[in-house]
Amino acid sequence: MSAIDYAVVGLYVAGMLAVGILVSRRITGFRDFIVASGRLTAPLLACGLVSTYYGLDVLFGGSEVAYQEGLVAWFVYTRPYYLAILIAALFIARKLRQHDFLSLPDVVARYYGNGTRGLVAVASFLYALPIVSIMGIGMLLDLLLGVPFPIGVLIGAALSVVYTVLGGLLADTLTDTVQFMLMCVTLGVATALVLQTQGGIDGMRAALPASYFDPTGTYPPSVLIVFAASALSALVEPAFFQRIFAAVSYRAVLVALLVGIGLWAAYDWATTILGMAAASAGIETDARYALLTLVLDVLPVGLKGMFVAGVLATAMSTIDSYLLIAGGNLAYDLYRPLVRPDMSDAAVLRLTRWMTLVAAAACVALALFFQSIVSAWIFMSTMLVATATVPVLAGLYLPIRAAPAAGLAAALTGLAAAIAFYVLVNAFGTFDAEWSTRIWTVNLAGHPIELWQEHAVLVALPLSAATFAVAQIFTVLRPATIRVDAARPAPAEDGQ
Amino acid sequence: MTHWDIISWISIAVLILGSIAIFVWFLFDAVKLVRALGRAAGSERRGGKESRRDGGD
Repeated sequence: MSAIDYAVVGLYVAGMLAVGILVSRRITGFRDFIVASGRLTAPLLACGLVSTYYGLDVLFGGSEVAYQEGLVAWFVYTRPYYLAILIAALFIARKLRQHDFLSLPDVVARYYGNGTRGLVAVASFLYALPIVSIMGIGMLLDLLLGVPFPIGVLIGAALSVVYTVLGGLLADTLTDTVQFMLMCVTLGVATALVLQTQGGIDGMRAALPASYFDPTGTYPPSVLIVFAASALSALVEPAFFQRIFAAVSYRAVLVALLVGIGLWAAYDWATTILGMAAASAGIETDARYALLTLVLDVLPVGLKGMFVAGVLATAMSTIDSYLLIAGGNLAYDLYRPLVRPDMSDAAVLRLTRWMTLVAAAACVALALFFQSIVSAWIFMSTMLVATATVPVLAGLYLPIRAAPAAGLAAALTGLAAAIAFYVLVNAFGTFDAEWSTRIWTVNLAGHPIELWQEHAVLVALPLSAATFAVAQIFTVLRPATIRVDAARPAPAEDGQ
Repeated sequence: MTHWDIISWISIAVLILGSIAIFVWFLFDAVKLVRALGRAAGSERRGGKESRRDGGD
């Protein structure tokens, strides 16, 4: 990179910090900080949702799958998410807007009380820690500037946390708009230039095996089912929920999510094409960095800096939003209801700012601890889906009042089953280098069945649903029994 | 040009033109948002002054 490229990156970082400082003067309470007092309009929501939900895991992860497998990255890995987001936009967002919620655990607290709220808050906190993006910044700074990885991780966390702690969701959303445009425009320009240098899709077709152009690729069906099941996280996504509560109206949420689906689909397609182009150009590198290596080769001076700023924006827009959610989970969803219910609004706001810093510190520690971050992310995502999906959907949609005990039982069972599945597969399974995961082969009546650690959600979610159903039926029947008993004359009266 | 090429160029157009269009839309909304924030902060300051005059905290 040249001096101009570094200047572009520096300008971008300075602008983000300035927004945080300016907005911090306008924050007057916790509601202002965590959901911008419900002021977000459709374009603000669209920019925030698109840039927040898509971090470096999508940019590098999507291109990694495309580099190794081809078009399957778009057709199988990402499409189920669009369907789940559409369901969230059309049905769940409308229901959520009927109540005065501030967070995902708030939703379960309404139906099941503080026990379930605590469990979902822990799952949401773990899910929200943006370890992948913070690691991504560390790797990027290492690759481009030779900054040691731990220092890069610290710089990434520090840059993102400063304006989030100062300005809350409003600063986060305003910076997201610039980050959104940067990440979309730079990726679009890079894809156009790469397509031209590679001779279009025909040029790639000549250099790549035919399987790269097969929409289902070479993945076994069980993996495809796991990809589809992982999209369920969109139904209980804490960042979606926060934006839904922060919206000025349901219509604004609907428009933002529909616009988002179009942009996400285009973004995924571009990363897929870039991953395939890196493979067809014969770039020999770690698959995760194939996109970055190719694009930095192709882009001219100035645009290179813009693209790096775009990659930083992709990471920072995810880190800031999720750190805010994680901080809110600790202060508002765990500490306040369980330890100090009488906390003032100002105290909750102050504590949330501190807890956002704590979340950032936890994230840095985990980013330095984990060797393979993809497995850690799948684990956290599974925990959230297994714990929160059944209680949230049942609370919102059950035609009768959901029983508090049923919600607690479903959340506990989902969490316990997911953890137990992971422990068993890790204890008895072996690491498969081809699929980069642990697999436990179980013999069932002479038939070997492969259990991947990613299958945890397929076991935990049905168990959570079954537990909810049993507990709900038991709770519904029990008062009827009591009523019948109460209607009977007391034995002593019979004797008189 | 194959249909994959056409989808790729549509995606590029959506990314570049779509994001710029949404950003311009945001700029129009940002003016309203800043005014609303200014009004909210102003009324809060006035409320604070009045409560101090009334002997409130």
